[in-house]
Amino acid sequence: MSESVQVATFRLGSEEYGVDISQIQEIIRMVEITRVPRTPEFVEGVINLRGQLIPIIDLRKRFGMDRVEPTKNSRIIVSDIGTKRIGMIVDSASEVLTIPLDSIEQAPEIVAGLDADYLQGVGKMGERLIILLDLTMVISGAQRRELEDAG
Amino acid sequence: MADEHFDRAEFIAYFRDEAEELLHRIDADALKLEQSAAAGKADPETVNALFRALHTIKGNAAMLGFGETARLAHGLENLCDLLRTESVALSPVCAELLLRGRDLLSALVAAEPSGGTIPAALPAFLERLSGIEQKEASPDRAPQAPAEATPRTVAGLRRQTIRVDIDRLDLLLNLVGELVINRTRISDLAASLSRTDGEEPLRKALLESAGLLARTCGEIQESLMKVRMVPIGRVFERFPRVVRDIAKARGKEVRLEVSGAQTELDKTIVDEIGEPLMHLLRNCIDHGIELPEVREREGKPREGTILLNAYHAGNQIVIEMSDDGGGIDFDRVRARAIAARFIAPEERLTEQELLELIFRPGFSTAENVSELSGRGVGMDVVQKAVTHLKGFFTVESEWKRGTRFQIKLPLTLAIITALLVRVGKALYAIPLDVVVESQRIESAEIRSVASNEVVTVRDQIVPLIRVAEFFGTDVARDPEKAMTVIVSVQGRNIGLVVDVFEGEQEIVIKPLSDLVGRIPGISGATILGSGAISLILDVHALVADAYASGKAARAELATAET
Repeated sequence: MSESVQVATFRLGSEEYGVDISQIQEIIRMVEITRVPRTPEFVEGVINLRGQLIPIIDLRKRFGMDRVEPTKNSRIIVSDIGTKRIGMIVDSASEVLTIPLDSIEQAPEIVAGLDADYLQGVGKMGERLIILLDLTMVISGAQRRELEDAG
Repeated sequence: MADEHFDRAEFIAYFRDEAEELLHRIDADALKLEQSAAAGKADPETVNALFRALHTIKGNAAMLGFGETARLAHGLENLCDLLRTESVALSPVCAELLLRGRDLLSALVAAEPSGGTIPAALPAFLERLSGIEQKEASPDRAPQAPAEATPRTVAGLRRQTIRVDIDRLDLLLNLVGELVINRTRISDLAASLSRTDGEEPLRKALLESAGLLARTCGEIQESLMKVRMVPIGRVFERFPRVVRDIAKARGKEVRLEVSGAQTELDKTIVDEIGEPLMHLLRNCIDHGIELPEVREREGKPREGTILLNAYHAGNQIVIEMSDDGGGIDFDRVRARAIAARFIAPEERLTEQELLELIFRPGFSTAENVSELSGRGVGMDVVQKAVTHLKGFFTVESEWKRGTRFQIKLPLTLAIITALLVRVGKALYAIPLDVVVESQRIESAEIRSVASNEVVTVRDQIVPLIRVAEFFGTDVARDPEKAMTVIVSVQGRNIGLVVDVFEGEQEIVIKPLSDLVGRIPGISGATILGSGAISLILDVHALVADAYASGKAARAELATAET
């Protein structure tokens, strides 16, 4: 049997994305987000997750997509990046898929708004195309921009 | 195998911790010996203490296989043994040898476990040590370990202590924080139940239980806080040596008097206050205390005195350092400030304002940049460190009479009482210790001075900051009904305009994730009993901001005009 990865999939707009489940701590429903002033624009605020304060970023904004009001399908993907815990808002979370490595292709250059460094590839599952993300890179990219903003 | 490695690492960490503590004591004792060296007679208690400390380090180092450390400790231990048996008379050379030996030992304790470089001076030093032994010791007796001086007996006399990983304590403290939050929630629930017509017995029972829970919580919280408390003396311990070394290098005579070393405060604060205090100490010796000849001319004793004192005052700890030196030359501060373009030549400043200038980065009045201080790393470093610890730093000085520094710090950084305020939808917490008063201010009372808003409170002009505007968030609901909280930092007052007061509450400070970045005006966040999040206002920063932007100056101008 060939090797494979397990990914949790979620939607942003019309695209379907996948993240290696080892990068995901939990997926929770939308809760009230406390806005924090004077933060980079893609930082939505912080939430209280069982007594811990977790910063929330809006992946739509991060990827330069239009902002939408949260719906009942909206979810927050909680992920540990290094020693830091962070939550990311997505339109909806779907399922956990096992994708064989040989059905993952190099990402085409033209995936709207995505930096190549957090794009791991595109998984093909029948008709479905799943964009595979490396969340650690999503954040370090975010921090980079934050630093640029500060400077 | 892996376990063995782990244990060894833990042992080494323990060894280093303990050695560091012992080295501080050795330092203090060796200094005592140096002072009595002129009399040529060593205090037997001090020599014994030195011997025991060195013996412990030797034993531990040998056990862990740190040969060089053990050899040096052994050599110094022998020297102490000779002093104890009076085979060698205590001389300044001897004391110097002990002090130098201690420094080498300190370097070895740092270097040997991590495979660092062994100090090059070590072999020569060991030779010198053994030279004294062979020359002075009577040939018929070999150094022997005294039966009464083993560390074990000493441990028996000491109070029982245990070393605990600070992370474990923090975890516990975090849990207590949760408990405190829930306690508040239960009290709230009980109170709201009493307002509705709930079941009478149930209401009573709940109130009673909430009260009990509150008491237990308070006690747990307090004793846990105490666990984190350590005496500030830990920081003071290394100062006598520092004073001696710097004074010697500068050709000055300085005596350090320490009191209140047993005053306790949070370990995190103790860890961070050492450097700033050291800086102040250097400053006192370098810029404060004059050369002995100058002092004599001024009619002062040749030896300058630095007083270091710590005491509790309410919820704060006060650390004072004063010297009887030359004081701050305000004319020179002025001249420097003009030269550095901090102020314009025609600007008139009060002494207090001039003093504040020395807190500015890059300010120094030292004529010659000395090796130890005055390199532009000045009072601003101390100021920054103290502000970081949510404390206050003030200076008073009298020309030719001396300078007094005062640092006020909170006892702990973890839990504070705060005033909760609402601005638009957002809840903010203002630490209660900076709140002077809170009141409704009619918009008619608000005046505009140079496009900044001010109000007069008890004949004092106070600049206003509208919190909603400052953060660019929700606009205040009804400016007519706005409330104002007057806060004060180091005698500077500003008014924070908010929508509604939501009462006082004990809050547990939680850091905002560094992914959010440092936000000007916000020092952290907290979770309230309801589960809602409230941001904690950084009042220090807000006041500094208001004054830096010239609001204060203009406000004062307005006073002058009226």
